Amino acid sequence: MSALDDILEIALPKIRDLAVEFGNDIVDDVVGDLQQFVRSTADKLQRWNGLLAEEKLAPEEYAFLVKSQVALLQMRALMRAGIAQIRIDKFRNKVIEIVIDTAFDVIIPG
Amino acid sequence: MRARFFAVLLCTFALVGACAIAPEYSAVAYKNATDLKVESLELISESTDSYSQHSLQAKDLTENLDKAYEYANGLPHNEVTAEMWWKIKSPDQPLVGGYLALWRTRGKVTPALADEYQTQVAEAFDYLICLEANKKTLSRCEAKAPAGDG
Repeated sequence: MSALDDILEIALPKIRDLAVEFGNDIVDDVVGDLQQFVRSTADKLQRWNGLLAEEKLAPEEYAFLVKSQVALLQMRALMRAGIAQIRIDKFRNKVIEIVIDTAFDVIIPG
Repeated sequence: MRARFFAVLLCTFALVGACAIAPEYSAVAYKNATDLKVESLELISESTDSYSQHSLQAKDLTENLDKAYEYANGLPHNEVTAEMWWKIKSPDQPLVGGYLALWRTRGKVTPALADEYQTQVAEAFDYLICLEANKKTLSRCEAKAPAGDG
């Protein structure tokens, strides 16, 4: 068995675990995010509809608020994209760290 | 031969590792976001007054938002954050820039809009602040739920 095989045998399970954790975190965040945003949007629309009916909001203002909620959805998506970019960078660094540490352990055992 | 193989392998990983793909944390960018959140909310709370009474403050805020966008846009790998700043500041977008444009056009806005818009703008800035904070340490920071929600 070559040294490269040894490194792969030790490093790959660690990288696989890291990838599973990474993927689960992203899925949890996206699903939780959407649920929270939909709930929050429904509450806001109900409140704004009431304010419009009571003529406390002008129709133009109401339309502007609704547009701002769409903009917030875009802002939230951008935030998630930015955080995913940071996570991918950290994931990649971890993979490199695992491979280098494993390589050293194989070359210089103990 | 074996030693040379490992040297090449480690150098390759070291080189790949040196090429970051994510933006670095910037204390200035974080401060810009927190300061301009406060400044924006203060001005929006006054938007039931006539726009002409606050036109100088609106001009200052617009300039400060422009500067924050330019700063963010100049940082490496920072396209996502720069796009968020652009959405906040642009008069064509329904966030701070758009709100100032609406206020200028209408002269003044209703108390209900000023109240509701503070929540909207606070949430927009919270997303930006959350992203900036994550550049330092990964965390599950969230925008505060608006009053009456959840």
